[in-house]
Amino acid sequence: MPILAYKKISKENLLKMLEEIAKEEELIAPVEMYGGEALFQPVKDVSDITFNYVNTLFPPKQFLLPRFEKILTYKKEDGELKVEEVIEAPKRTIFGIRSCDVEGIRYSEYFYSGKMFGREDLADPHFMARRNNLTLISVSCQNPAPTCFCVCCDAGPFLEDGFDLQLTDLGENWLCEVGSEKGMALVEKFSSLFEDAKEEEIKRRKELEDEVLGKFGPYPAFSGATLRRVTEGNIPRQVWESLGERCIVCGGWQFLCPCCFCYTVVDIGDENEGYRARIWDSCHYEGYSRLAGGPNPRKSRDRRRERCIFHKFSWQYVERMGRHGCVGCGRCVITCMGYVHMPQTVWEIRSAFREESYKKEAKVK
Amino acid sequence: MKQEALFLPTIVPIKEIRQEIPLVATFRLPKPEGFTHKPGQFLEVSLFGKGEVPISISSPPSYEDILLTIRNTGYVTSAIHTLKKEDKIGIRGPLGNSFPYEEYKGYDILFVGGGIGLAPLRSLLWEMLYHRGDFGRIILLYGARTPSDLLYPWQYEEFERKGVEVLLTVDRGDEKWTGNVGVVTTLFDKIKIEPERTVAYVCGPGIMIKFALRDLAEKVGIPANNCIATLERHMKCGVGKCGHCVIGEKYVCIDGPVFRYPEIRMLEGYDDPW
Repeated sequence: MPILAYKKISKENLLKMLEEIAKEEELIAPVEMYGGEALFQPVKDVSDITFNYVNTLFPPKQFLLPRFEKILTYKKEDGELKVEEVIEAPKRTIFGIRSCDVEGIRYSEYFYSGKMFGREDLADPHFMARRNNLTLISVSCQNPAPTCFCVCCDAGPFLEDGFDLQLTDLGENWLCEVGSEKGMALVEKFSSLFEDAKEEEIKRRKELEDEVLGKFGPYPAFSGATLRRVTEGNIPRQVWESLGERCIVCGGWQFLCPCCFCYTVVDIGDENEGYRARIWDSCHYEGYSRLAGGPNPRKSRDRRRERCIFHKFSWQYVERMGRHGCVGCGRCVITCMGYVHMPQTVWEIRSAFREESYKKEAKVK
Repeated sequence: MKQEALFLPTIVPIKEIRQEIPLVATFRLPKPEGFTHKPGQFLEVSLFGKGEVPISISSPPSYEDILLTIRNTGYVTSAIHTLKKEDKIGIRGPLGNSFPYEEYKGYDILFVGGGIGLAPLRSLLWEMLYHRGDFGRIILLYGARTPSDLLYPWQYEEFERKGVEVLLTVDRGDEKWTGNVGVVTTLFDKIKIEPERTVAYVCGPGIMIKFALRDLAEKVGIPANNCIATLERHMKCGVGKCGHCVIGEKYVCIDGPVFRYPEIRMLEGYDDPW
């Protein structure tokens, strides 16, 4: 969807608008916690919101796919089993979400809505109900962290679409780009707070975008080259083995990644009363692919690692999902203790083709 | 299936339980209102408090009930095996794609099964027997570990009476066993077929599927596109959401479980699947 309108809003008026939103629905915004980390939290008082952050510690995916979610309850009454579906979807606005996370939400939505399979009749009712009640007010990045690499992943630092409103800091005012009907409705509702943006302010946004591109740090992920190699599947076994050996299977990457959305299902309770819940899962865990009775198609860590990178970086997935599965938020760089995060993996896949020792063993198809 | 009920099972009573062989039993369930399925599809069977497991339907669509053949092997299936007649169980489905068979009218049909893998094939086999005139020869090649592991022992006679050529094999025979000994692929030498007008349906353990498909396509000479297999994975949600059943870029629950050989060959990690 093209940009519907360019508006601007002063910093005071923005807080006024957020205050009004917080009265009517759940406002999620970055709050400084735990000694300086920014985290998305439900906010009642807008003075709690921090604007001094690069990105939040967690992506806001738990507001669409909670870490732990009841999906149905069951109860035995007079010998009859009663089963009821539980869908929890409050009206929410997320303020301060960065471009990479918006792109991550779009990626998850494409999967959960069934569009990936061309089966929209199998859309996830829980996810989609929450998504439909969600408004995204994103803030473009002007100071990327050293770990950020969204420029390599077509997911930032400024977005062209996918948001409802995109704000850009112009000093005294925020430039506000309206990216959807939902965003337009919001601007119309608070029309007294907004002004039309001037031509030079729109031009200033383009200049800022160019400036930011020069500020990125030392973690490039050469997606194109990696994509080709993962697709062909001729990456030397030693690369995976070396990555698998260092991985400590903590699952941190998958829980922090805006593009990861696997879950496992558990029943909690006895046969008479209880509920069924879904919980985040990681493809790096040994039990992920295990079948009943014990056989496991991906028993070794390097197989599971290979599987994960295949999902993120193969053309087979790009063809089905419309983009590759990394938005360059850099959270895996921060969390990974085995030094096998995304840019490192990409670098090792690339450098494997330069080293003679790997070349000899490389499988040629 | 309505979208609101994507994760909501229908509760049905168990009508009958038949112990087939040690650890394997067939559960007979009534069809819920408006239930229709195609051969090769599966159900998510819920036992509340324990969990949900994907089980393929072993009865043909033309049959009046649903038959589920379940092996007692894991956490949920072992609990299902403690159930008795009239106990309640939840089912969700039918899910997944199905065996392509209507386009193969007039063809000779070759079934290749291993162990519990006969259960999903039985659905299609019986559907073809209900429409016996539409198909040419029907051959069933079936292997198990020992003679007492051969599934549906009471039914082979009926299959033969209805014009199915049944060839059995076991990995290890006992003193009473006079038939073939060896893996199921050794039976390929014992049959004479016209590969060009034959279609093969394969189900069994992963390693068996891999070698059976390879031999059927490369040694027996059946066109690769007519070699069809149904794969086994732990499908936790059954509707392409949870991600556990994925192989390569294919989700077994929604793109499968039935795949043709050229598709399977392209899957990531197929060279070394198990």
